[in-house]
Amino acid sequence: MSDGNSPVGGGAEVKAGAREAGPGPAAPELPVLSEDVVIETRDLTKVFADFWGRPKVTAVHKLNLSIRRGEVFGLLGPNGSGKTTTVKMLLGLLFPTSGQARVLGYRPGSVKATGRIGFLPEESYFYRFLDAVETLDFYGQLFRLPRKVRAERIRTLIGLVGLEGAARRPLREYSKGMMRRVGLAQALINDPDVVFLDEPTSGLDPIGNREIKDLILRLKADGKTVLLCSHLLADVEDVCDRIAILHRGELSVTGNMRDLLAQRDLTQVVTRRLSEGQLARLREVVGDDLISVEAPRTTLEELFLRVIKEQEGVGNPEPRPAHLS
Amino acid sequence: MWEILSLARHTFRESVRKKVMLVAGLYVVVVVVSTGLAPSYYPEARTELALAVALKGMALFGLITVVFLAATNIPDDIHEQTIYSLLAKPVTRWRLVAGRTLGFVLLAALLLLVMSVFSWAFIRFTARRYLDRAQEAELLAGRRFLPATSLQVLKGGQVQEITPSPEGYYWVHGDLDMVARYSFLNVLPAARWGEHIVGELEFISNARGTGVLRGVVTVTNPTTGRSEDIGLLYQNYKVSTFAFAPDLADERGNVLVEVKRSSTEDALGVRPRDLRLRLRPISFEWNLAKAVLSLLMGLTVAAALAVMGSTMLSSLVSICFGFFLCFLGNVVEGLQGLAASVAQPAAVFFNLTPGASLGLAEAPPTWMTVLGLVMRYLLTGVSLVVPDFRTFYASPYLLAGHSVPVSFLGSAALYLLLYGGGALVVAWLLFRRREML
Repeated sequence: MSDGNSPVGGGAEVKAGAREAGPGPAAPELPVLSEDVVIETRDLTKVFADFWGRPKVTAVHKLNLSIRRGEVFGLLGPNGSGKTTTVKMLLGLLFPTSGQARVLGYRPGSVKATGRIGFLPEESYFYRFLDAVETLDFYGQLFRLPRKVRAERIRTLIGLVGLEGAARRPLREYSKGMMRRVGLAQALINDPDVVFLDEPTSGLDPIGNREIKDLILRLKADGKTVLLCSHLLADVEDVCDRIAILHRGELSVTGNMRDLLAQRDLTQVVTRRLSEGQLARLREVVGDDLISVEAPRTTLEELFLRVIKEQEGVGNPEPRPAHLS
Repeated sequence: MWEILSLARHTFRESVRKKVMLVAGLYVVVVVVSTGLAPSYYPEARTELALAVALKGMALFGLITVVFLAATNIPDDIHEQTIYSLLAKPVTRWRLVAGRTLGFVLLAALLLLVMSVFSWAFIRFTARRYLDRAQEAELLAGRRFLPATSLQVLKGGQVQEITPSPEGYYWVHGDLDMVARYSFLNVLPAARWGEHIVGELEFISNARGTGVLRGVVTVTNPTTGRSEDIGLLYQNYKVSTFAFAPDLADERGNVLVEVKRSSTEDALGVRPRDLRLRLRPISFEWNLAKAVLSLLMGLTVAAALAVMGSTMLSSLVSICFGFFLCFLGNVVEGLQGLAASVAQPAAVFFNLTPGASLGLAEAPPTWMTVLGLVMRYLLTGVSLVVPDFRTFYASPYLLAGHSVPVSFLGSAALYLLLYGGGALVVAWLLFRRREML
């Protein structure tokens, strides 16, 4: 089994590790998880069948994952790679064809597991006849939260996702970004230990995008485990500790983000701006190994956020209405 | 249980916000218009019609609404993908099925409440407009009866063995010495109305139309032998009443009532329930409430069946499935009759007379016999499997001016527990392994 917990040489454990070490189709019962591991799959496989029960598509093939408590784990892959199918199996919405999974030590979908999970689905489909407060209250009831606790959490979460001005409007009037915020709030209503976020920044503008990423980092700081599914690589890069890349249902790469992205045949030195003389001496020292010398660039996201912040500070001192997201 | 109640409340709220209660408005229009437009041949006609339309309308509108909503709810949850957020919460699929069903029962209860309050007001209004108070009380009160404990038929003083006809009658022919003897036990004090005990008789004769026959009712104290003859005219299909003093019952409250005829025309059909003593009636309001309660139990079964179908089918197919089952459940009597009619296989079913149109000699060909048997068992099987909604319709009692018996409500509740519970268990079995693609 590929053990993503231990950083390995080069930071990446490539395909073979995920495929070969498994015990085969008749995988034995997963042992009790260590305190540190909250999600574990062993040879998890999902084959979709046609009407007659004949295998049609293998969505996930012998997936081995191990996600530790308190980390932000990114599940990446192109469309149709099996990310959502994996999440659905971990939530008990789909049943594995073979292999096993444990969430917090329990069978996926069991009440003991789902009681400690928060889930933001890929598309924010909620009951459009309810408003945000009613939505959160309904889901809070399903967690058996007492009325006072629900009221307190709803107030906090509505503020957290920036929906104070629209909390009493029916969801059918919400924009996609606002729906995403409600979805995030409902995923946190039970103060979960594990949060599944399926494309959390989908439909959000750069500001909302940044807020969500900040929120994920805050969840991590609070000791929550986050499983993040996305194909927006910049988002994943900003917040994830470890990632796994799925391709056609198979685990291609898994490992520590920093190690995976490190270009070990290059060296980067960052200094204050150098004078022409200093640059000449640098070229002399490094010689032919010098590839380029240039000013470092910020990201487009940073630039956008800075511009918006400056504009709001100058022309519009009022805080930005949440419903414009 | 907490989650079930939360889901039920959510389902109820969803339905109400989708303006489902407008169905009650449509119901009001249908009842008012259909009653107002119908011709009225006799004073009680409009009130009787209002009662019939209101009761049957409640059943029809309630059934259509509940089946439609219950059949589409879970498929819509799956189609709209709201099911993901729901099942990712600590909600077992059993609780989801039970909570949804309970929500539809709450909705049905509200719908029935609104419809029945309107019905009550409309029927009372119609009765006050066209009838005097006595007629209104006679028509709307839920009459209760004390049935005879036994019925004997005597001829020339000898007890005759009773062999009822297929329709349930024992035919007393034109002999003047034939007596139908009814025994009543423990009639006091329940059957006492002030200074009288009132009985009623509902014989059916084979006279055409509404023939009138003369007869005598003899009430006897079985202990002392004291008796009293009461002359009586009874009309075909009409209830005739008679009254006698309570002291004709003995110390234990037992009394014998014998019916003789004074005219020899026609034959009389005698059934044990045709002669009974009246008990104090219950109010129309209370009787209507019992009818609505039994209807609510029926709608609960309908909701459970529709939810059962919805756990494995798409919205459209689920609606068809739910309505088809409920349709069959409303024609169980017809199915049973059809099954019985093919007892003489095929030829009867296809209305073919052997030797007639097809030139058949004696027996129909084997394939017809086999086909007839297959259809007979199929129809019998279907009539046993589908819910028998007659169990929940108390309208025949109200239309006959009778009180809805407690035993009727009891059997409806038992049927609900067994059938509704069974449907929910099947729903859970189907739903527990369904994948949310």
